[in-house]
Amino acid sequence: MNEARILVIEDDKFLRKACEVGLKKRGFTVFTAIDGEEGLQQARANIPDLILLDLLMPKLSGLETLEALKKDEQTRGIPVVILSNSSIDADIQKAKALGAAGYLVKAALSLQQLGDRVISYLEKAGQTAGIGPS
Amino acid sequence: MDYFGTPNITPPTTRREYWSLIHPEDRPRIEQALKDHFDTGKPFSEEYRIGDGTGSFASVADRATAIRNQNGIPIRLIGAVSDITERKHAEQMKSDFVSFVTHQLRTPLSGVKWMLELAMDTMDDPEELKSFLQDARTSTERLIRLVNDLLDTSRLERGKLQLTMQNLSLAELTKEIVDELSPLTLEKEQSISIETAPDLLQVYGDAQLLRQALLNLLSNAVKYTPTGGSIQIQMGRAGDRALWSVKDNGIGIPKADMAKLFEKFYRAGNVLAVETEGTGLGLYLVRLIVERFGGKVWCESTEGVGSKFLVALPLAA
Repeated sequence: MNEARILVIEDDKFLRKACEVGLKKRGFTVFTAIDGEEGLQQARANIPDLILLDLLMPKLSGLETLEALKKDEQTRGIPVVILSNSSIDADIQKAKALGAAGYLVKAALSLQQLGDRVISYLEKAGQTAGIGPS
Repeated sequence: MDYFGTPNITPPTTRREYWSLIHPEDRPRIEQALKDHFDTGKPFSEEYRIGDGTGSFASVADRATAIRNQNGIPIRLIGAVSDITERKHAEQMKSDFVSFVTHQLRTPLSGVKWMLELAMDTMDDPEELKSFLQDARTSTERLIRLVNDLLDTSRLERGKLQLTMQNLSLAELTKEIVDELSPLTLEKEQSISIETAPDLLQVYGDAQLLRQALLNLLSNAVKYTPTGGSIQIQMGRAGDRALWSVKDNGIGIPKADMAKLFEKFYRAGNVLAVETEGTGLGLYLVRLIVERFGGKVWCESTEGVGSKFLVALPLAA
């Protein structure tokens, strides 16, 4: 079983639900937040192993959230993977400059593939203790 | 003489002067292209930004050919530089539009795709299966609304929409749209009051389109008014026109956004704080429809206090 804890920050309720159910099926513990503000609170409260972050969101946008996460000593070390439907070059560049660990386009992935990518980002981040087929 | 739209600037007379006006980010690329042209004869045709010396830049297209002496050494450069700033601006707008629509289409599409994937893994649990399928269906409805809005916009813009013009009762139309939105207003615990003029107000228009215009205005009021807020609809006569208005105590509209509110794809600066599904087509469609019937739509608003949208329509004969 995957024991890692994932925070999904996504404003669209269907996509949030799909990510949550899909990742839970893979054994992850999943927290969700409906916008950047709630995402920041959740990140500080739960210190997840990885954050999946949408870009276009109410209140605090994904890029603003990413910036705040990287400024906060508590949350700075958490790998943040952008999960957006925007494939605007400027967004990708900005996310990378702000320290995102990766950039995924939702429409290009199945939930199965999303789970696979999450595992490989976790491995890359060296937080894979206890992860893998049990 | 106008030098790229800046009449007060003395145009550069030497190559060196001209060269120094090219945007620093573009200069290395242009230098290389010119060198390639001199060395290999590869045609020189480049787009770059050129300054007027005061800090603003125009986009230009530059085509040039080297004149060579008997030994093949380039001695002069002849060519033409044309201002393409407007075209560049239009291209940027078009590309922003494509990016935006792509995003707005992909979001519900991803929802459908993922919900169906979950459904396929849940065949043994009918209740859960049903909930995934229901979510997929709701996502397709959002997708259809978006595509319909885009299509209606394009048809209205080109005047290609088939209309069925008839006398319409504003009060009845209003009651229909209030009923349609009642699940939402109940959820948000909002109160809607309707004030109708004592005399029957009939306007001349296409029922479906007028209904859509009023629905867009009322659903904006519902969307941008917080839980527990109140919305007032008023109908009355103003000279030879019917006046319909919807007033809310929602987030209001920033002053800076008022002038562009009814433009295509325009979204006020404070809407992202509420939701991100909007397309910037709703109010534009309202304006197209109302103007089509010979009417007028406008708005009065104070940010943080609320908005009032007013529609004036010719009364039925």
